Amino acid sequence: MSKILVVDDEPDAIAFVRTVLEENDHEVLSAPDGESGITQAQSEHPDLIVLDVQMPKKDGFHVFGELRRNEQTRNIPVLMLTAIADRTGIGFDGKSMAEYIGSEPDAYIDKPVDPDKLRETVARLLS
Amino acid sequence: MPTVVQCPECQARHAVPDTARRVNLLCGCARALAVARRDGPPQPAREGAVTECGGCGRSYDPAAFRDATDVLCTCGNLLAITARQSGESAGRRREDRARSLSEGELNALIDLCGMMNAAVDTETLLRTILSLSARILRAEGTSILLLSDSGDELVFYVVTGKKAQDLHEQRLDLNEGIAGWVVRTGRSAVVNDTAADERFAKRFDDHTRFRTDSILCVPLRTQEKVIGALEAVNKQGDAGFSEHDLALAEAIAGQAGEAVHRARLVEQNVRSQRLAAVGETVAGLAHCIKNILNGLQGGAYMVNSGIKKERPETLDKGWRMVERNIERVSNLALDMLNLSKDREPVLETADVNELIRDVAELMRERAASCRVTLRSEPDAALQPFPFDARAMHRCVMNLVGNAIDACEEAGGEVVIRTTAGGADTADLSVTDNGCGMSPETQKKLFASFFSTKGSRGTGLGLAVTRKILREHGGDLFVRSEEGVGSTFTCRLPRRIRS
Repeated sequence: MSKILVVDDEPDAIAFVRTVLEENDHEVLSAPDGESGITQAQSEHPDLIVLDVQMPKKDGFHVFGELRRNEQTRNIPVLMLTAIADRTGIGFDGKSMAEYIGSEPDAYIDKPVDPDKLRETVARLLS
Repeated sequence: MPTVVQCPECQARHAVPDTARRVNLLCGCARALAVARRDGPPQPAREGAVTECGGCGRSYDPAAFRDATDVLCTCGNLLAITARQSGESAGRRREDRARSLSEGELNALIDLCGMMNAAVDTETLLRTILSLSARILRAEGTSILLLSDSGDELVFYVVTGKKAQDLHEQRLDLNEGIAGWVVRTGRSAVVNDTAADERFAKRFDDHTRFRTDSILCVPLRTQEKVIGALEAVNKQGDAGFSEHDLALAEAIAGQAGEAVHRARLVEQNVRSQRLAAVGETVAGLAHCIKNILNGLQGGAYMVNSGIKKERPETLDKGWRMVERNIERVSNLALDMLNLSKDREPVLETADVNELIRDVAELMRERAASCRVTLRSEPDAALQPFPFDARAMHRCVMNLVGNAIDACEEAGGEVVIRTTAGGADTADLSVTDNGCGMSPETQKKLFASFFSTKGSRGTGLGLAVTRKILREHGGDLFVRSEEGVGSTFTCRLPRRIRS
């Protein structure tokens, strides 16, 4: 059983991901915004973070950047959920995320989330 | 005094002795120039006199070419030239011709310049040019042919006259017709006997059951590039198109070419702006729909999972998710419809105070779940007045929903107020003590699909609200300070507009 942190501002989206992951016997923690997501990542040391891109105030890309810059969270794999077709250059003055942060998330899943794809990707990232 | 003939290929000039009846010249560019000309010094052409082409023997009536123009025979030879001073420039010739313009023609040309500057799109511009050209040139029909995007065809872009509809958007190859020749060579053509001209494309007469006797065709240029041709057919009366008509047509075409170029640039600009706006809207819409689909998919999954695993609470949660997202998609559709067209508000006398009490009641549960206090403060002095109650209900629901979302900390408070703003207006305001907005956010507030609510917002609510108020003749005002809160004020007129 792994500990997975889901960061999403939409309670419905968290409930969905939680249902899928709990069926596979994972322990699911949740955070309703980017700031508390970072705090929980530092205190709970999850095995994987499922991160929504579009959140108010601090979006998923910026949260990812902070996670990668922080010593304690740098090595936690991140799976990003996005409804945005173009994943580059958003919020980074036209630069791609790799250019801006120096690394890319470990995986992306497009919304609407396919439960099977979510299960497979989580299994791959945890293996 | 020698006559001067100009080579159609390389524009070189050659002197022809006045005494020669027929001259065969070889131009420096290797073009053979066979010239048949009248005897003796140039005279105004006599009626019925005939000029014979030195190359193919075809006969032409020189009366049509009286005033010193170079005319090519269909076989490619140059003929019908009259004497003119060596070194005389084309500009000077045009100037001389312009001097002979009648007052009516001059006024028509001035009108044309004014109209060309006022025209907004290429088609209107070309119609203006054509109707005036037909009048000035006294032609039965006029048309403007423009080069296709590929550049190998001419398209009858705008046509006037009896057969306008039949000719519109017909295409001809660049190697076809007098217009094709004009565009290919960049030279003007006056043909007063189409039956005797091999270049003439008869198929258009056959297609339209029309008889073209004479054609005047001049190239349309923009920045030295030929972009099409202006063509006039069938000169009224028996005289045919004259050198004077040619000068007029060239003057019109000179203005028209540049004007068409300008109009096309404007159209291109408008088209690319429209495409960008459509692209942005579609991308924003796709994004909203994906988020809603995520909710529906999640809800459906949880319903199935609840049934399979016999967990009623999961089933119940999933079903509520499905319901919520059905409502979201229906709201999105309503917002899109609302934004897509102007509509007149359905005005009925109603009580704005009752409206805010209704909204407060409907939103109380949602406010409580977010630990936000929701109050309404109606102004008792405000009497019922005509407004679109259904549309305004949507606006206030929207503003109150936003206000609750803006209150994140415990102790959040949202107040809905009405006040008689003035003798003719009523103000309906929604105030919160939430996070407030930065000046940057305030600037983007009414842009479609701009949202600070992450996946939950469509970014259409405020745009729709302001549109509804403006349709009433009112407006939406915002006052906000970061960390202090925001007030959105809906100002409604209290009188029925005439």
